[in-house]
Amino acid sequence: MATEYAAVAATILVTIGTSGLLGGYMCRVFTGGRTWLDQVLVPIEGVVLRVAGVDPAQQQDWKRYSASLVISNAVMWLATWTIVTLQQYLPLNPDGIANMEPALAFNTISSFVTNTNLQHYSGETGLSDLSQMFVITFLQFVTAGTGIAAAVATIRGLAGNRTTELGSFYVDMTRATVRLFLPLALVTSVVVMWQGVPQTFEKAATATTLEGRAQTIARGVTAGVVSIKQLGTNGGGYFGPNSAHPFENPTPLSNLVETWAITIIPMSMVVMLGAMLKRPRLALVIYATMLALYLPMVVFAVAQEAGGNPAIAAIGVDQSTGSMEGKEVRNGVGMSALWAATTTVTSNGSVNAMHDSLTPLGGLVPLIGMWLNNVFGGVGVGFINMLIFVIVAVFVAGMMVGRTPEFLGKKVEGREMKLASLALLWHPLAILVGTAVACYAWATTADPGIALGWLKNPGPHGFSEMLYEFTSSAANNGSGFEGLGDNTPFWNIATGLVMLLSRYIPIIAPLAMAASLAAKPAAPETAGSLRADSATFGMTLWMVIVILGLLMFMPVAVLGPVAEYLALR
Amino acid sequence: VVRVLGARMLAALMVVLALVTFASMLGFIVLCDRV
Repeated sequence: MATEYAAVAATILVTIGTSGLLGGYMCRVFTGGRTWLDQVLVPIEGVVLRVAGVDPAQQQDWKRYSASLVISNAVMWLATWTIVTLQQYLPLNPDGIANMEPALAFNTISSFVTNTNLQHYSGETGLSDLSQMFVITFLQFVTAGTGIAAAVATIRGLAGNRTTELGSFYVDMTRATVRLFLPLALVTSVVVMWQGVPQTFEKAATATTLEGRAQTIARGVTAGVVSIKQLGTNGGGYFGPNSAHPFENPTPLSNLVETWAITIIPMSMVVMLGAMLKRPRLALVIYATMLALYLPMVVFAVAQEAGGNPAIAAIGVDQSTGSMEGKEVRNGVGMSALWAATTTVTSNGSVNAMHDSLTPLGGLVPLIGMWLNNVFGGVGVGFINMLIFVIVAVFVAGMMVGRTPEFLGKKVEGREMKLASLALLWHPLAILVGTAVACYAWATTADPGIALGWLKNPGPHGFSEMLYEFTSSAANNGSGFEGLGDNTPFWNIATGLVMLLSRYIPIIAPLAMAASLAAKPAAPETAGSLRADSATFGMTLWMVIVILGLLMFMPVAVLGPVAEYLALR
Repeated sequence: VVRVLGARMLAALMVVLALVTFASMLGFIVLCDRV
């Protein structure tokens, strides 16, 4: 166990250590500074923008910026949906994979366009090589770019002084894709390929097992998918079992690199914020607040999984290596629990162990990560979600001390609070209403066969499975408690809609809020201003997040994971 | 559902559903502007 704990600590330290470097690089990319990769990447960026007919000098206000974001995403949705529903007739399909059924394609494409990567299909049997490359991998790059672009525009809004200009969406998205994700993904792909992840156009291999039976072993363009699925906080794997599959994550080193890749950009985003606003102390306070939420979650999850499963211990199975059900022996409980906490705080959603098999309270940690959705969070959107809580904390703190709430020298007024509330309340609304509808639909299903196909595990755990599915969709995470029979029209359409709405509402409202702040004159900070870059404010922010989180999600936590925990003892 | 509606009808329905959702997000931009 000591080695496992050391590996967990080392992974976190390496990621924190490298986030400073990458954050500085990202700031230079988005503020027009010079970087050592410019000679190679700037020409590529120029070609992309020229082909797309984008004038890099053209500035957009928040309405044009968000409209460009929504429209470009709608176009990508239509194009990629068409490919997967017609993949049987298209080239690069060596295994003769059939067209995707329309409702499943609705879910799949909505999932990948929104950076969620919830998968109701199994990659190796549901998608051709063409779909894996030009739908899945393409969307994993550009939707991550979309998230970064939204965050960069929001930061420009915060920095603005009587301005309406937030930059150009097309330029920001192209920059994020070409100058950030492309080089990082190339390096990561090569490292995981070196560790044994396949990258080939060959069709599935056939092998004869020791018993003399023929076995088909799926393979394909895996390394490319694996690197960007982690870096872009996408999470959608090439194979159904995701990074628990030995072809996606073969060794302890590949596991470390992939865990690093999940958090590195969300962590660097905070550093970039400090550099872009020229307020490193503010970034430090936000970074520390996020760490103060993340580290307890990791420690709690590792402790829960290392403690073993009392129900399995009761039947005489040794639990000294922790609760190993649903986990890979090469990963062990430590790195599996670290991954579970990390992949859900960051809205990544890839897994290296089956979350459905986590112990009840160990499984509560991923749920909490997705409920808060702002602890480092998804690339770009995590910071935007945190900004909403910052504004609420500023407002609460301002009210407590009886001063006008101010953030970065700008008055926070009714309009900003309304927009923050819209974004804040949508998240619990989508999760709680969605889960309630699903429970009602399941409970009133007359056909016992259909009900059983949907939920094999009634009681608190079945409730958790449905709650997790909507939580994962609303948080644009994509992981799942996979005991749920989710490839049905109800789940495909319901979660598809939740993913789409939960992607754009929490991007558009904060962008409007940041623009509203940008239009105001910045007042110089005085001794009477509320300082957002102080430890006191960090603690206030931490408390606001914890209290709001409890208020929104405590009841469902008790009905699902906590009830299951009490039943197991 | 596929059997009742037919694959083509279902496909058309899904495209319409997606377009309506994206259009509603354009409407949301207007709403945020008016808040």
